[in-house]
Parts: sequence; structure tokens; C-alpha cells
Amino acid sequence: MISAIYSLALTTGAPRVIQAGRIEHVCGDPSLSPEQDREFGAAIVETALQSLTTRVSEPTLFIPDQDRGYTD
Amino acid sequence: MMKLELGSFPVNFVRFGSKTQWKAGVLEIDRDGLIIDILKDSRIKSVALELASPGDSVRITTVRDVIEPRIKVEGPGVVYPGICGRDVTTVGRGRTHRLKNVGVVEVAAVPLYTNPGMGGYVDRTLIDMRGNGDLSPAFSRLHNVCVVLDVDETLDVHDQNHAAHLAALYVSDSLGNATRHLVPPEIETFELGEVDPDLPKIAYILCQHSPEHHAGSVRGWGDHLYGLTRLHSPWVIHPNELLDGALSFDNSWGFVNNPLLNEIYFRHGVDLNFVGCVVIRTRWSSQAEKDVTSQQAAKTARMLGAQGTVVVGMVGGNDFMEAIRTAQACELEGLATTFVVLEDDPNEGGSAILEPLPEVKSIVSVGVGRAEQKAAPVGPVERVIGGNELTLDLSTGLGNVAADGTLPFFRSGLAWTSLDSRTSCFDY
Repeated sequence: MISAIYSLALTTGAPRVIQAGRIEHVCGDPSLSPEQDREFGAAIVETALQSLTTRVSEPTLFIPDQDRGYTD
Repeated sequence: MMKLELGSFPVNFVRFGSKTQWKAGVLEIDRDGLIIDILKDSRIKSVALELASPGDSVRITTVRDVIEPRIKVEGPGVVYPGICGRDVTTVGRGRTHRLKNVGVVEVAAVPLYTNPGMGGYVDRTLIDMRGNGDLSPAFSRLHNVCVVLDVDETLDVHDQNHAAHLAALYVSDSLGNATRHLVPPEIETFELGEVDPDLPKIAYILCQHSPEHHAGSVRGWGDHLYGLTRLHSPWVIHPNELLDGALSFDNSWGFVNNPLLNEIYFRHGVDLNFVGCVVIRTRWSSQAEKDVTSQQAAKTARMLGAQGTVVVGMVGGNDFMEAIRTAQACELEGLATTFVVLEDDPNEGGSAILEPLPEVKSIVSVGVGRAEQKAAPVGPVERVIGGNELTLDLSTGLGNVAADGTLPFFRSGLAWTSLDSRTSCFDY
């Protein structure tokens, strides 16, 4: 599950939760340029795909590999 | 710092007459005079004033707010500060007069905002005056003066909201003003004086929904705190400010007649030390912002000296997260906390509360609301004030029924902070 409010997603029992942007733009960030926005979203989706091949034993949070400070 | 005297003028009968005045429990209202004044605002196409008293076979629909007529007679500021451009001077001092048992009901088919996802609800709250509080526990026990407005729908939605609420406030002020020079039959004094330092210190934390994201604007219409509805950081508020209506709209009457707040206040010096209130906003749109709000709220309560807190959040879904996380953060700060909240509908297969957190061990539920309200059909009424149709399913906008007919179930409405629920455990 890709979620902006990932703590809630973890309590629902979803095994793989991917930390995302904001509720109103989960896989994007309109404050970025179009290219950066696309990279931002791509990182989230790639992380989600990688998580599918990762064995987990309990609800696990995956944090996309980027450092943008997007929660500002 | 803050001492407030509240003078109450009880009302047990309301009628229209040549002059607005209160005498020995009878409130007389100059209907024609008020209508002439309201129509000076060209944004109002037409207005009617209608009365509904407890027990009347009447339903009131498209209710946007119920306001208790109050007026400041001494001290700075005005009641219901900030909203609709009113003076923002800090309130809670001096003397305020109020008409007890009266509600000024704002009736208008005006949505709060025009965001497609919200559907432009106009069926916000429904009041059924029958049965001594069976259906609408708080509002059906008031003598309701309904301000039924037809607002120019070609205006910007914010303007429509402003016009409708301004008219309702005008009626509220005018009725309250009838008591300005009179001696109140009842006076209460509200002051947080020095008390035994060994009494446990309690803070009251209110979680109020912000319409900022639903409206897509920082000026979206919703609960106003000194006229602001936008998301803001935890805000320290003296309970006297709440008594003077600093928090208003949607349930202005309920915010100044809050039985939980009153109870905590009355017990100040008896078995607790009330250190103050904190207002947080809910519906921030990222995890980090929600966590900042809840943790800062707990820190704020601790800086006020609290040893325990009561966290109240009449919210569900997305908004629920800040509320329960505030209770959790308080517990983690070492503050004994009780969380007062509404439950989700158990028939929908989920848990009673959205995200149970292990640290939040003391929870008071005010009931389920919707599920109970599905229980029994409600018979027809003789008269309807407001819109003639009700929408059964607010999430789809489907299922219209005649407002005066038999309803398959009764639902008081979709009011984010409404304290009026037929399953509420508070006894109005």
C-alpha cells in the first residue's frame, strides 16, 4: 500500500506499506518542477515494486530512496 | 487574568410583537424590523423568521448553525469574535448576557464550499422538535428562532456563506441586545482562581476539523476560532474565551454550552485545578504534520502545568488520526489522559475506532450515531422550516424524501463538531 498516512496503513495489517507524499498528491509533489516531480513519483513506484519481491514477516514500512524533505 | 460574569435571562415563551424585548421569561421579537434590516444586504434575496418551540410538530432542515443570543455588556470585544469580520479583540472578560433556552437557527441551502469531492452538502443538520429530545436532544429543547434565508446563488460561495451567517448573527445580536440594560435573574462567575496546589492539574484539549483541504482555501467555511478556519498550530485558549464564543459556527450554541467544559470548570478548586484549554486542528495532509500537531499539543499541555488531560475529538477518518495521536502523545509525556470520541459504524465491518493505539487506554465513547439512527422510522410532521427535501445518503447524494414525511431513519446530520446526537451520552 502506497500511503501518505503510513502509520494508519501499518495498523490495517497491510504487509508492505510505502511511505508517500501527501493525501492530496500521494505519488507526486506539485511544488517541484515537472522533472523532479516525475522522479519523486518514480522513486515511490519503484520502491513499491521492489517491496513486492521482499520477504516480510509483519507490516513493514518502505521508505523511497530519495531525500527531498517533501513533508515541508 | 480573566474573570467573566455570565448573566442569564431564561426564556419560556417566544412570540412576534411590535418591539424586541424580554420580560419575565417572555421574548418578544420585532419580526418586520429585523427583516427590513437583513434585506439591506443585497446578497439576501428574501428572508423569513419562523418560530419552533419544544414539542412542536416541526422539522427544521438545511440548518447551518444554531446560535445562542449573547451580548457583551462590559469588557473588551464582542461575542463570537472574528467570524464575518467581527472584532477580533480577545474575549472572556467583563460581563456577558445571554437568552437561555433560545437558539437562532441559520436556515439556508448554501454549501460550505464547492469542491466536487464534498458534493456541496446543504443537508448539514436536521432538527426535529418533537418528543422532548428523543430525536434532537439539544436543539429540540430550545425555543428556536429560525432565520430562513434565500441567498443569491450567483455569488462566490464564500460570499454566500458570509451573507447567510451575518444575517443570523444580526438576529442573535438583536435578541441579545434586548437584555443589555436589564438585571439578569441569574449570574454565574467564571474565574480560574488560585487553588490548593495539591489538586491535580487538568488541561482540556479540543480537536477541531479544519476545512482548509476540503475547501482548497485557507478561507474555507467551517469552525472558526477568532475568525480563522485554516490549519494552525496548537493554540492555548482560556475557557472563558470559549464561553464568549471564540470558537463558533456549525454548532455555536454547543460550543458555549459545552457540558464537559462546564463540569471541568465547576470542579476547579474542588477536586481539580483547571489549567486551561488547547485547540488543535485536524485534517493536516501529511503524516509528519499530524505528528507535529499532536506532539506539540502534548508539550503545550505540559507547559501549562497539566498532569492530566481530557482530549475531545468528535471526528472520524483522516481527522481522527490527529485526535488519537494527541491522546497518545499526552500519555507518552506522562499526562494521564482520557480520550472522548465518537465511534464508527460497527455495521461497516471495521473496528469501533479507526486506529486504536495501545497508549490510549481511557476512552469515553459518545456513541455510534449513524447505526443507531438507522434503527427506527420516524413519522411525519405537520410543518417544515427550510428545504422541502432531504437526501438520505450524503456520500452519494441519492435518495430524496419529502422533509415532512415519514423518514426511514433519523440522522441529525453531517456536522463535523456537532454535539447533538441521539445516542450522545451527555444529558442535555
